[in-house]
Amino acid sequence: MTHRSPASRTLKVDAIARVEGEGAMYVEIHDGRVHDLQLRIYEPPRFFEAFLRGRRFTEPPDITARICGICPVAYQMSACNAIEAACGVTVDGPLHELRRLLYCGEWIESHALHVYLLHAPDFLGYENAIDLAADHAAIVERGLQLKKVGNEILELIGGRAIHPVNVRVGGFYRVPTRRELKPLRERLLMALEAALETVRWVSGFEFPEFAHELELVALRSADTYAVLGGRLVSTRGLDIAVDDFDAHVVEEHIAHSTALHAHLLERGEYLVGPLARYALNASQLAPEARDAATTAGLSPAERNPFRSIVVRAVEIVHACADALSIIDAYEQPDHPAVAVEPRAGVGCGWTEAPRGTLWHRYELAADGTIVDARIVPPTSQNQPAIEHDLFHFVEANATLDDDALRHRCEQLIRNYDPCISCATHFLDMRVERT
Amino acid sequence: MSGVVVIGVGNRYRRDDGAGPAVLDALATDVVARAVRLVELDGEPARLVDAWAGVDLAIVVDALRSDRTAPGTVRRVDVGDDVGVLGDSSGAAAGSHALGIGTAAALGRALGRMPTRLIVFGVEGADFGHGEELSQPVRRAVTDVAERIAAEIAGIG
Repeated sequence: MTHRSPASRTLKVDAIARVEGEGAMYVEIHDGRVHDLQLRIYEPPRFFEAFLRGRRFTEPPDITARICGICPVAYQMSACNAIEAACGVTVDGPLHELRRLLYCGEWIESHALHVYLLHAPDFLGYENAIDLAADHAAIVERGLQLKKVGNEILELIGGRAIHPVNVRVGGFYRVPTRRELKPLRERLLMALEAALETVRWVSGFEFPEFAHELELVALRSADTYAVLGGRLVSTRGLDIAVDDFDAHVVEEHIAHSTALHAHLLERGEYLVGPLARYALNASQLAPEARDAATTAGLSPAERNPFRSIVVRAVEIVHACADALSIIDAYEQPDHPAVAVEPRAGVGCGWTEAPRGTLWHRYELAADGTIVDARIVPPTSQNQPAIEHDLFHFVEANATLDDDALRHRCEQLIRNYDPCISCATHFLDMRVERT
Repeated sequence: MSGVVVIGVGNRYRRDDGAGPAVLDALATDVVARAVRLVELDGEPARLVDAWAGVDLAIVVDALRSDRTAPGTVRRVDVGDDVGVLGDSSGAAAGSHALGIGTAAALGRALGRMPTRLIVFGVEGADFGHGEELSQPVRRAVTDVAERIAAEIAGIG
């Protein structure tokens, strides 16, 4: 619904389309300046942290996977990392590599879904992926095939495509043989080609002129494009260990959102996700992905959030190439998991979910009962940054008519692939102009 | 690919939303069902399209919440050329969490990946709360739908 008067307008979107979950946007403009802007998350709170209390230390991978149908592996891996840290256990070798392979599957599936079905229609003038498919069936089919390969990795390593059942603290219940991984290799070779075509396709889109100056934050590890851990670093010199996250990040409740808003202490809003990962770690991408990014005209200095779709496509290339390397080097471990004995203590863990850094913290009693749990998902970290971008974008584009402005705002929100269900502890857009 | 696929859509842990999977359970013990593929899905459109693409007959069972008919009421739709009979298929009405069979059928049509024939059974539910038990009217409807599907399949044999 839109109201307009000569000096003021209100734009609102009551249910933002093509995002994961339910949220709204409200913008009030007076004399061309943004007076009020809210990204409203209205999905009911889900209380996961509360009902983890009192459960066994072995249960979070299965319980927290239920937070999201798109990125369950991220929840499982951050949970495992945190609990293993609390118990003084390190999982490395082929089990660590299998975890990365599983995670590659999730990145491929989640990014392919977002690029093809949720975000690309914005750039090509279609209302949705079905209208896009009516004119470009082969392109949408390519996206669905990519997504399917991601699913197949989850099914083989995780036991099923949604909420995998084969993940446990310490490793897996069952690990695949080399022979079982072989068919996946063929599928990934096809996916790698489709991913490279995806980069070429999306890099040809027209991108609105816009750039932000947000602090970009992502994990960094010494030897790989960080996914399963590392230190948290930023474009402005942040460099912290996993146990120090809650000393640097504050979460606060905002009246218009059931998701908490996160800020870096004394630094303000920040952005996690593909643009941040690429800005900080581009040199660690697989060579195929690095070359594709360069050919697509990307550089680590990229600050136009609309070009995040290109970064996501590059990350699909990376995930396919990385998955192939893991499969080629795989040696079946003797045991599917390492033994993890509970002990009293606190453990923190983080990984790079498709949408950005996901942090877990568990406090365990000596018998393994969970005393306290905290989960900070990427979308609640990005929510203030999305509002920051919307504020500046609306002010820079206030001359657009309501429909055009509303469309661009929705597109901008989709740049961040917000996962509202993950964040509710969110989109309806309204703009008011006076 | 050819043959018959029966797709049960739903969440077994949200009571009557588990009507589709419950029909699969009932068919799994049926002799008729041995020649058909039984697939349990969450309703995500791409997976639905994958499950039914190119088969002779696809039968989808899902729970309904119209609040316009009594719990346990069964609606059968033989989807012809007009996928609009399945309701809003724009896929633009809401976030990805609200996409359904109508969206999947529209996507399948756009991609040329539909079954030769698509039949959808909708079972009006009463209780979509947490838990595994179906309400009594839906339990009865599940038995009825399984029998009708078995007859439907026997009819084409």
